[in-house]
Amino acid sequence: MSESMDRAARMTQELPWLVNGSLPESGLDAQALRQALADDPALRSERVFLERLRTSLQQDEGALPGELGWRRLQQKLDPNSSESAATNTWGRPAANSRWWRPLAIAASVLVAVQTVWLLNPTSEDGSYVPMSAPPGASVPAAPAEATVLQVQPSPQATLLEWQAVLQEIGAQVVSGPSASGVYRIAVPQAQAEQAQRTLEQAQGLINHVAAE
Amino acid sequence: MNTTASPDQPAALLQQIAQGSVPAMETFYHLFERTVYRYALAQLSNPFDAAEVLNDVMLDVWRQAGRFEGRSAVSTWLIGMARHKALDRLRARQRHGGEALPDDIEDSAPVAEQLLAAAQDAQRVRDCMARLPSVQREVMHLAFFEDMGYEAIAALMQCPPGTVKSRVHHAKETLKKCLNRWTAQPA
Repeated sequence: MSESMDRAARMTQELPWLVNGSLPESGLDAQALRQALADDPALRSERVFLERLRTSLQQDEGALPGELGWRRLQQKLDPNSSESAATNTWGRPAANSRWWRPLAIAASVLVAVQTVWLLNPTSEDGSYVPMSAPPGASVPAAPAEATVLQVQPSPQATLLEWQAVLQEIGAQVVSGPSASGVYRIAVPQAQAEQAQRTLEQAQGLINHVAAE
Repeated sequence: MNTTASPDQPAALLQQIAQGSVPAMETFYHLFERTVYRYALAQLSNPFDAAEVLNDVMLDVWRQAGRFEGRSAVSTWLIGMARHKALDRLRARQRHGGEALPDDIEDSAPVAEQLLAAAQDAQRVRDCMARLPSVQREVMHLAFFEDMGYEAIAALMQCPPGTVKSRVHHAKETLKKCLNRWTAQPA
């Protein structure tokens, strides 16, 4: 590799740090980089690309857990477990403190529904691909092609367990939870019976399931 | 939120949290929720998991606030905790046949106008980010979302600064390739 190519490669590697403002302006690297930018149109294009990339990445990606997330955490803030209050309570929360889970599920499902549109690639025909479906799975694009089930997860179910069940049956959360903790989920019509059986057999995770 | 600390004093908030102040914890949570959640989401591409990581990190803050020594920014300390928890989840996924972690090295190519336009499409950029190997996705997030310098990233990731630069370079080239595919598709 020639010396000029070496230099160009080095400058290209330094460019991200100029773009994000972390390269000290007074440093040798910054000065050399500015000179290289003045001399090299390809490097200037690279800089524009990185600036646009950064702008895109910093755009809002949807909802945060917010107040629901805070309330979930708040239930676990036992004053006795803070460092100053007790030095001997560093362990996990008590095993019976699972009553927050319906709230946790509600918070996460809300965030998931709001975020899933932004995180998941659209399929080639532009239809929606839900987070809970395995990659490449066929998912109904309209409610007419889906069967809606009402499901009440057990308060003892963890988020990961609930998520795993949804993924297993390729379900999409339509709404919920209701005041009684019931979700409405959509599954492909052809797989509805099997999905319902799977949910009924998920002992300890699902309290109730019924087709609408 | 009833705390005497202003939002720009996270270290002071941590002192209050270490003394058991729930209002200080609430202020702290809302102050850093976005940093932790976005990092976890970028790593895990899954809002359920990201919410879990956020909750776990904040619970650790509640329990360990007194351990913050001020050797790094509070946000870096939090991302360090989130990183460990996100890595645990990624490893669990891999054990269950999940995400592979390829490390393709792409040749650099001149940036065409179409690519510059594609880089302005936030949704496309996010889609392409989601397809990056996790280690590349992480450095891109830290460099371009958190605006961290390469030395801070290197300290966080416990690797040499040169490795960080190299990973950002490879991630950028992989993103270009992905965005180019979009621009090549007929409208």
